[in-house]
Amino acid sequence: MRNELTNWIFKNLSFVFFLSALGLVYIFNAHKAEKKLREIQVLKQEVSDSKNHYHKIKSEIMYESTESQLAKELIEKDLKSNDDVPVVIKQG
Amino acid sequence: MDKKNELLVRVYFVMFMFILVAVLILGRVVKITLFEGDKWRGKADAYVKWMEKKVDRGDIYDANGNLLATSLPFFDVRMDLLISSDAVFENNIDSLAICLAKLWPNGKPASKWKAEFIQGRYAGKNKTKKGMSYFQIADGVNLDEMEKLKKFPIFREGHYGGGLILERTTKREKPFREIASRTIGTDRANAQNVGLEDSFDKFLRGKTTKQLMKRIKKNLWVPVQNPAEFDAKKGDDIITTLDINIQDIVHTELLKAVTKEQAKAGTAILMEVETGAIKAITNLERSKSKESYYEEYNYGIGQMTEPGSTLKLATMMALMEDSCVALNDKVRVYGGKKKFYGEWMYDSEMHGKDEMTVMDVFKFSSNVGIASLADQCFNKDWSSRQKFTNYFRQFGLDQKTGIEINGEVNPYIKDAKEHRKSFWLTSVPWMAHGYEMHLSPLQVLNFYNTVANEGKKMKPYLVESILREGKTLHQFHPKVVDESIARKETIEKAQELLHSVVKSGTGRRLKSKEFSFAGKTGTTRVDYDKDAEGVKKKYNASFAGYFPAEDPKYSLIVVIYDPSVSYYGSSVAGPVFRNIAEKCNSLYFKNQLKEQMAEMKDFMIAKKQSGYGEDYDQLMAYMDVDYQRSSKAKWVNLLPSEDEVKMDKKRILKNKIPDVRGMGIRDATYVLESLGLKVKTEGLGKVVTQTIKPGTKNVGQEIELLLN
Repeated sequence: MRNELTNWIFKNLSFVFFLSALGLVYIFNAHKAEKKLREIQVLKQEVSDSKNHYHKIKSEIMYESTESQLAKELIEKDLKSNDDVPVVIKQG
Repeated sequence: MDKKNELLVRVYFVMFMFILVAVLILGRVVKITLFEGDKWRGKADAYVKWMEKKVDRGDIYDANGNLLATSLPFFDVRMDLLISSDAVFENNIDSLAICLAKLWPNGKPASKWKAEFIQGRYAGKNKTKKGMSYFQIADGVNLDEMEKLKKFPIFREGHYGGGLILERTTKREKPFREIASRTIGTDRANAQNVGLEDSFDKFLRGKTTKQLMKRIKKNLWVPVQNPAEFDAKKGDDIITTLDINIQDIVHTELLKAVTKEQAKAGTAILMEVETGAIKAITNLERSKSKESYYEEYNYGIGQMTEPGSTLKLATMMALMEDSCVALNDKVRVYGGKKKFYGEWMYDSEMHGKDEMTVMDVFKFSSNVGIASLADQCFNKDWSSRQKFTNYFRQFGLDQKTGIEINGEVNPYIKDAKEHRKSFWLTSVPWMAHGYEMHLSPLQVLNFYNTVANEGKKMKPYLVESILREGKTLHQFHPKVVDESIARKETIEKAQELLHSVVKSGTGRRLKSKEFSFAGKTGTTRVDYDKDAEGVKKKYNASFAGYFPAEDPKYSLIVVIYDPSVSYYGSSVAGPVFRNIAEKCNSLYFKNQLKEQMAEMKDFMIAKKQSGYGEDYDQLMAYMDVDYQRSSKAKWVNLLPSEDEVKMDKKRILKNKIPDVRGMGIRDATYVLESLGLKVKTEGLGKVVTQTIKPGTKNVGQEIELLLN
């Protein structure tokens, strides 16, 4: 009886090892996935921050380049906008 | 036997122990689930809980894709003064204080920062007492400042080393600041939204859903069901019909005028004749300190006033629709002064004439003239009065425009039947020149737009489309409200009248040589029931019309409320109208020129260049250019000539330095670095020279590229 049990255990030992190895892989995998998620989260934040940064700078440029803002800046340099109405020389 | 008994005793003992343990465990289970349940479940919640998905609010754009409103992150900055080690704190506290004082020059001086830090850390001079772990540095810090803050001494040690705490919030930002800001609207946490932010809140807000999240790190939560699904969907984007260039012109011109006239407020709306799309809307109101003007209230849409002379156009059209008078008929104007049923009426400009043609009555905006005409034709009996008010209905003046901004109200136009109790004998003559009724500037503009559009009434609209994740969710098309509000001849005569005002009428001084527009001045008395000696009379000056006169593209209304310097529509609102019209016209030409230039570019021949084959395939397909490609190689040379574009294989060998001239910076670096070379670059554009000759043996050298 005792012999049989020992035999059974020995016989299946490789399977037991396989199972525990599988378990290890599972745990390792879960941790790795979680780590990746963390990285993704951090990168996403970075991406959205960069995007916001871009938006901010771009909107500043847009505002500065409106005609009225340009006119304001250029008046100090003695440049004025040409108020003449364009003349159509030839209707195409 | 003894041995057996002894054995049994031991077995029973072991069994008893097992049972005891089992009972203990069971007892513990009962205790935990029934008696301490809430406490433990509460603890579990700290690791798993239902959270509302945070959604970024959608953006608002103008018709050309310029950003009008977006959400930007801001930070509330706190500092845990207790976390840093003594060495770090003592060594860096001075420089941190200096850095902070430099970052906000108008804030606290460095000495004060330092004193507060020390006081906070040691809670007074007593080192045994616990100090502050949540010291306020600043609120509403923007991204740029936050990036700088992170690099300051102490803070750069990170949260656990330096104690920097950043709490993220988002705020709505309008890149163009004051421009159109009331119409774009505001989105606030603790007050009613206004403008488009309000009417399209449902879309902008996005969908908020709850999801089960688990905690995997401090402040880091991931969804339980599908950990990869991080992102909540962003709210929808709104594309408006506004054009920021036109909007800028309108804003600048109106601001100039209200400032010059010291007016209480002003509004200007510009609309595309054919579609009813609103291209610009500006509302300026004087601040309480009377120093500057702000977008405080949507006058253009919400301010109901008596329109005055601008509505004489409707009376004229009613007269013509009824064929009651012809434009050349003469009418007596009694020197601009006449009593109607016991009430005096005056013309705003004393012209001294006794008789005028019907056309001149409109051209010179004679109140007496138009009131007399209406009185003759429409004030005989109740049925003729009914006919008069019915014409106003026919022209759609009693209807809301249906603009997307909340808060528009129905215009008030008296009806001969419905309002009989307040319909006096004087009502027809006074309605004839725009009194005893209330309309918003947009409603008046819509009427003028209809005349410019050959009688076809369009619905004014502000939103062109709604985008969900970059794809069109809703496209709004121009909507016809009424195919024709009047007979063709009536519309033609109305247009003729509007031209004549600028050609030789009250608007003649506005005329510009090269450019024609049509419109009507309005000088409207307000608060006339409070008339008294010595009290300054109040007016609203307006000008409504369209341009260019022959082929109307845009209609425009300018209203200036309570100007203090001058008060005539022709001298206060008229110049604003003309300036806007002229500048928009130039802008239109400029845009046309740009388009032509873009077309010209197609004829220019590209230079020889190289790059990634698939990129070129896509580029050529996008530009719709035919080309020949002789090989399927990854990297290609592009050989354009006068009438065709060819591509051939670019040879790249592992052990030799390739020729990267003509490549873009990204392609060139990729090619060289994947061959194990170190790359240094200078300049922008395409590679013009490389420091190592093509064909040299590759031993992982450093190569420098000069870009043009």
